[in-house]
Amino acid sequence: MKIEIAVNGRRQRLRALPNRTLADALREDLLLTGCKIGCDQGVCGACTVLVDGAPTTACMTFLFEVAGRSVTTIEGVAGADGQLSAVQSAFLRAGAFQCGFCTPGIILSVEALLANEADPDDATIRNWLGANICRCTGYSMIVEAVKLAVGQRIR
Amino acid sequence: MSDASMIQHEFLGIAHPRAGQALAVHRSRKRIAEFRLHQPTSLREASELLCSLRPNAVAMAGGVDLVNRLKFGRPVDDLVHLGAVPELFGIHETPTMLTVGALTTHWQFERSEAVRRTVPVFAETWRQLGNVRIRLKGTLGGNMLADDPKYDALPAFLALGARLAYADGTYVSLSGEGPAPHLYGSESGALLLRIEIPRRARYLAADRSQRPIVSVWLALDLQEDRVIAGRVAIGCAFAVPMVFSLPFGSGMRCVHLGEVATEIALAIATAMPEPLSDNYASAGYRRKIAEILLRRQLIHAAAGARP
Repeated sequence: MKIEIAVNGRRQRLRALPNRTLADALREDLLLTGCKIGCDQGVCGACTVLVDGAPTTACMTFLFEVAGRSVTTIEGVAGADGQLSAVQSAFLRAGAFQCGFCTPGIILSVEALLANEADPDDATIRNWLGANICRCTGYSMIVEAVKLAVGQRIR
Repeated sequence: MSDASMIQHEFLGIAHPRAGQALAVHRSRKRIAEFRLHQPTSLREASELLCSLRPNAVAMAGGVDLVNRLKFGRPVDDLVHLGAVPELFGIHETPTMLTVGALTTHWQFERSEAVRRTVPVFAETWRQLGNVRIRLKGTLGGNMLADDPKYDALPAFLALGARLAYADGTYVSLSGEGPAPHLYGSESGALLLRIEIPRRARYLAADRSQRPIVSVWLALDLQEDRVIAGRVAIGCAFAVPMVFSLPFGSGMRCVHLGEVATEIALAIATAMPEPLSDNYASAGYRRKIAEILLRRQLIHAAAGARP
């Protein structure tokens, strides 16, 4: 089947079988490997991308489900001039990652959170980040990075 | 080239035959077998498709469970995606009922003002389900028809004595006692259309803190400051959720619930059939935890139950 989607602001026309997942299409067809495949069953959040702004598990979403919609991967978060987003900058400043495998998914989840709530409280941040597993950092620096990003956006 | 070979090449850092593509690129490891896709745009079309294609057709709502099952090898010839069937969406209020479309997502449900007005506790409880991605994609209908006793929608609606309406005009009542009734899914050709929750003065409390061992959903029907009926639904502990009526006789003032909490919780726990015994907990532990959680809920209800 032919599927047209907008990925990071660019229109893409893909041919795929119905059983193709969004994660496979992003990684194999578009070479957007920031979408990581961790658990491959929708739990770890490493494959999180934004579909029309909503955090979505790409490994558990068929490509046909996002036909006509807008997909944002980590490659599309920074500005066209390479300027990092407030969330990306905050992650760097807080040192909120080690191996980095989970980081694209977490940053996209946080981008969605801050688009949804400008000034989330701790409970909301932690509830939201419950969708993303990090085996390295213990989460406190990630929460710190979210607060930094909130502060920067509010300023 | 096999999956194993591709993964091996990648981990060893050896160039594999797919020239021009980065080594970091690899596909989902759990492959989904091919299927024919159908995307109906009306309830009639969806129903006709499912009837004509059964038994190896499956309906897909949010797909949270289904995609996982497909990845683990569930054979499906035809997949009927319901995302464009408008009749399956929407939350509506009538004077006597709240109706929730089967394809309402958990996210829409937890944020609905109509739901908040009818059953306020859902707003907070549903926020704890799964994670944000699951709540954004998963649907109430899919949750109930996934046939997983650890899931929350069925015990919640059992406690409330809701009713399920199917597209073929039939209904399944959840107001009985004992094991949850069989919910027929798309394999029967019938589509779950909506959940109907009766609107009346009611207190609902949920304790999911001990999942996946036990979850307890307590619903009390109130008349002024009296409890006139009560039901408790137990999730996780049995192959299907169970529901029990609470012995309040002709009614009891809410403030006295705490005094009878121990007695009622023990009576319910004793009346339960043998719970599951698995790697999470033994049957005896589940029975005890269910008793404790119900007792606590009744004590809290003594202070908090308001029509």
